[in-house]
Amino acid sequence: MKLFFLGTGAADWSREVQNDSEYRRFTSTLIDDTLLIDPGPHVPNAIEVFDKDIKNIKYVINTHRHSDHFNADTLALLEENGAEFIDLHAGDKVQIGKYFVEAYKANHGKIETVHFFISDGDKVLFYGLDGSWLMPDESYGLMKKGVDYAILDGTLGEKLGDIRIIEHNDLGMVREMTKSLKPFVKRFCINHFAKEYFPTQEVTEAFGKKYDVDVTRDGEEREI
Amino acid sequence: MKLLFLGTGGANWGIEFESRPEFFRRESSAIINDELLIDPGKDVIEALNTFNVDRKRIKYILNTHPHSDHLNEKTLKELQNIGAEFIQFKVGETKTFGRYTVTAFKGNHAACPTTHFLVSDGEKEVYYGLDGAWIMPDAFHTIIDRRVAAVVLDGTYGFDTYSGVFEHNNMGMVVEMTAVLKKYVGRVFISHLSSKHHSTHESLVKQMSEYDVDVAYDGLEIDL
Repeated sequence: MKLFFLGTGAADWSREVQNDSEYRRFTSTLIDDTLLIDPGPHVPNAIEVFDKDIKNIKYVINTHRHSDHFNADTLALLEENGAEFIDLHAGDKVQIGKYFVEAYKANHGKIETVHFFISDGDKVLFYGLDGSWLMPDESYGLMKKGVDYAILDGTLGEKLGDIRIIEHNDLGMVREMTKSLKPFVKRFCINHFAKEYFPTQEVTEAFGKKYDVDVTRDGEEREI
Repeated sequence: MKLLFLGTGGANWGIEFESRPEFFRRESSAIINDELLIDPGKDVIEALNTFNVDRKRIKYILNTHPHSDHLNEKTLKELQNIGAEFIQFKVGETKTFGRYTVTAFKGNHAACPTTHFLVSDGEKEVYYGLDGAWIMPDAFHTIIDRRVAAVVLDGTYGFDTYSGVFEHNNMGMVVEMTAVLKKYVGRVFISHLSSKHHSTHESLVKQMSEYDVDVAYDGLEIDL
């Protein structure tokens, strides 16, 4: 399974795409060039800049309707180019092309949010953002299934006391959860970085090393 | 408001430990103003005697969840027989009785339907948040908005204890939440402590004082 990170930022990065190597677009991930998670407002720009063929994108799924993860114009553009939007809710289990996708309820404030288990028959990916502390069903799903790669919300830094832990993880929470789930997950990754805590890739990578998790950057491809 | 901890142990503690000479904990239970009891577990009658609470003064009984260390039919019947009223809640309900107003919030305790309680006695408010992992967004926001006088968190597992953290808290999670809560609330207590996953009470008190968390013990009485 090939992951391509079209965007890796939280909503505090500017909505206007910046011509700056440290800039992060809003978080969106493409799987094997065919399955897109989160048609956010920066997706068309990322497709163009990273030289992706929009016509290869056959399926679109969405974690939640916050405006950095879901944009009607982006979705319309994808649909015009042949993509199908599959609107998933907690509890759904569907076959989408070669992918078996299960949607689980996530803990992300008032807005309905789902996380995904995505299997291509070879590898299993857990896509766990946005969200704060994992809910029981998805955490026990992780323990039961065992996954090759788990992407967790890593929005906040390591300084204690940010009220946004109600809706997102900070690095202390990432440490506690990865230690708990380590026997069931081959490798962890954090994504959805707030500019406030991860201003540069160097800082982000240093945190990745410290917390023993992979980190992401826009335009990066990763085979799992 | 007077808050008295009748028991502060997780399910592997209990009154049977009383025969041991050293420190022990009863199963978790608390009573407000000697008249509103939260969780009529099996150790409650003995605790009321030991801590000199006249059981005939108990007017109301609440229950967080039906696990056997929190709800004991014999205790419940005995208290009902001398005049206490058992008041049951669904998540989201608010009820007023006597001088108390109580709202039930969803506790995140895996498959077991669990309610946490925001209790007001007309003067002060306390949030009784056990059992459960983390605090769900509705409750978190309410605690903060209302600047409650005290929050009681699930403190089942210790530092560096990672199993069970999607049903109960460990100390890492308590530290994370407290760093936010303490900006808005008076005091943060932990109760429902496991016998196996903590060092001695004294050393835990010392460790948690660094984070401004009070470790409850049986018989601890607080004037809020």
